[in-house]
Amino acid sequence: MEQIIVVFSSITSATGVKNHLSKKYKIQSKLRQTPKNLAIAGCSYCLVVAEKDLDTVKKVARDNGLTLKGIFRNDGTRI
Amino acid sequence: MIYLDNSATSFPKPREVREKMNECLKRYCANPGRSGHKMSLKISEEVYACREKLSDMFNVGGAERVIFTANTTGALNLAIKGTLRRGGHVIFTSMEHNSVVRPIYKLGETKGVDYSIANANIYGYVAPKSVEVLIRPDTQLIVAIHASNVCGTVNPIAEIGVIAKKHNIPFLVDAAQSGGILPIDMEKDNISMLALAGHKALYGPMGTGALCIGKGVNIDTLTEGGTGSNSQDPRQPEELPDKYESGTVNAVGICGLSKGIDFINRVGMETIYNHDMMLTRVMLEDLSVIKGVKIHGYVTCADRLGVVSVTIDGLDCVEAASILDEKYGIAVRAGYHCSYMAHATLDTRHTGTVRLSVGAFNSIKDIKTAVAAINEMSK
Repeated sequence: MEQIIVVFSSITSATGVKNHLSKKYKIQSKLRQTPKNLAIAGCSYCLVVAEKDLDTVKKVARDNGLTLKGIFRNDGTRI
Repeated sequence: MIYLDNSATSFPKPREVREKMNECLKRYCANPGRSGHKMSLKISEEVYACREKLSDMFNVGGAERVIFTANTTGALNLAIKGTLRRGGHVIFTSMEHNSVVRPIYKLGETKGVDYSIANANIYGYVAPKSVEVLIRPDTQLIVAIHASNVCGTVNPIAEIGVIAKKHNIPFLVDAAQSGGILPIDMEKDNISMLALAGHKALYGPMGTGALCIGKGVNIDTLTEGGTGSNSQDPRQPEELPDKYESGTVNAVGICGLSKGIDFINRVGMETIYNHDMMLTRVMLEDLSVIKGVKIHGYVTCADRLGVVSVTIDGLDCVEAASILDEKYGIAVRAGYHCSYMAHATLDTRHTGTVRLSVGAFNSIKDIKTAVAAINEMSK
C-alpha cells in the first residue's frame, strides 16, 4: 500500500489530525519529524498515512481549521 | 497538618498526578515538539492529550487554542498585554487579583491605557450592569474574575459575557479559582479568553497554567522564540499554539495536570463541588456563631466557592494564621492575598483576613478542628 507524507507546521496540528483519524475514522497514521528535504520553512512534523486515506486527512484538517503545509510521496514528489 | 490553603495551591495532589509525573520523569521526559525520536514524540502526544482534555472541559473549540503558561499570571499577562493597544480602554472589576491589576497599571504607565473599575458590592459580587455602564467606544477589553480568591464569591460571567458580546468587546475571565470546580463553557458564556491555574482546582502541579483563546480571537504575542516549527522563518509562526508558546513547555507538569483533569472527570466535577460546598456550609454555620469572628463575603453557600475569609476581633490576621499553624497544625493564608483592591471592596483594607480554603481531600473533621481552634483563639 502506497504511503504518503502529509506535512503540518506544528506538532500540535499533526497530533490533532492523527488523533481524529484514529478515533473517528479508525485510520492509523505515524507521527514523524518531517524529513529536511520536505520541510517547508524549516522544522515541522508530518503524518505518514496510506494514500487512499488522503481525502479523509484533508477533511479532518479542514473540519478542525488546521493547515496542511504539503503532501508528498515517499520519493519526495509533491502531490 | 490540616491543609486549608487550597486556594493558594491544592494539596495533596491526587495519586495519579504524582504517579504520572514520576513515570514521565523516569521514562519519556524528552523535549516535546522539538525532536523526532520516540521519547520526544511520546511526550508530545502526552502534552497534546492535556490540551485536548482542557479544550473539552471548557469547550475551547480546539486543542490548539489551549496555550500553556507557567501559571494564571502568565496567562493573564499574555491576554491583557496581547489585547490592549496604545491609548485604549479596559474595564475590570474591583475584585481582581494583582495579576490583572498590575499589568493594566503597567500599560497605563507605558502605553497610556485607560481603565474603569466595575465596583462589586460588600460581598464581592459584581452586578453585570455595573460593567455595562462603563463601556466606551474605545473599550478594548473587559476582565472579570470568576470566583474571588479572597472570599469565594462567584460572579455572573455568563451575564457579563452577554454584555461583552452585545458590544463586540473581547471578554477575559480569570478562572484561577473556579477552573475545574465550576462548569465553564467558553462558547456558551461568550468568553473570548479564559485564564486557568493548573495547580488549584484542576489538581495539577505548580508551574502549570493555560490561556484558552476562543475562535476569532487574535492577540499579539508576549514572547517570541523557538517553537520547533518553521525554523527558517525569522518571524513568529501564526499557527496556534506555537504563536504564543515559545520555549520548552513544562511537560512533566503538564503530564501531571492531565491526570488532575482525569481525576476530576473520574470523581465528577459536580461531586467535588458538592463535597467542597458541604464542608463550606459547615464552616460558615459554625464560624458565624462565634462571637468576635466576622465572615467577609457571603455567609451562605449561594454564589460562592469554598474560600472563606474571616477576621478575629483583637487578633492580627497574620498572627492568627501563625497560631493556627504553630499551635493547631492548620495551614491557612493570611494577609491581602495579592488582591488589595478586593480587600478594599470587602472593607478589610486595614486588617487583611485569614483565609480558609477547602479542597477535595478535606474532611468534616478538618473543618470542625479548624473552627474549634478559631473559637478558642477568639476568646
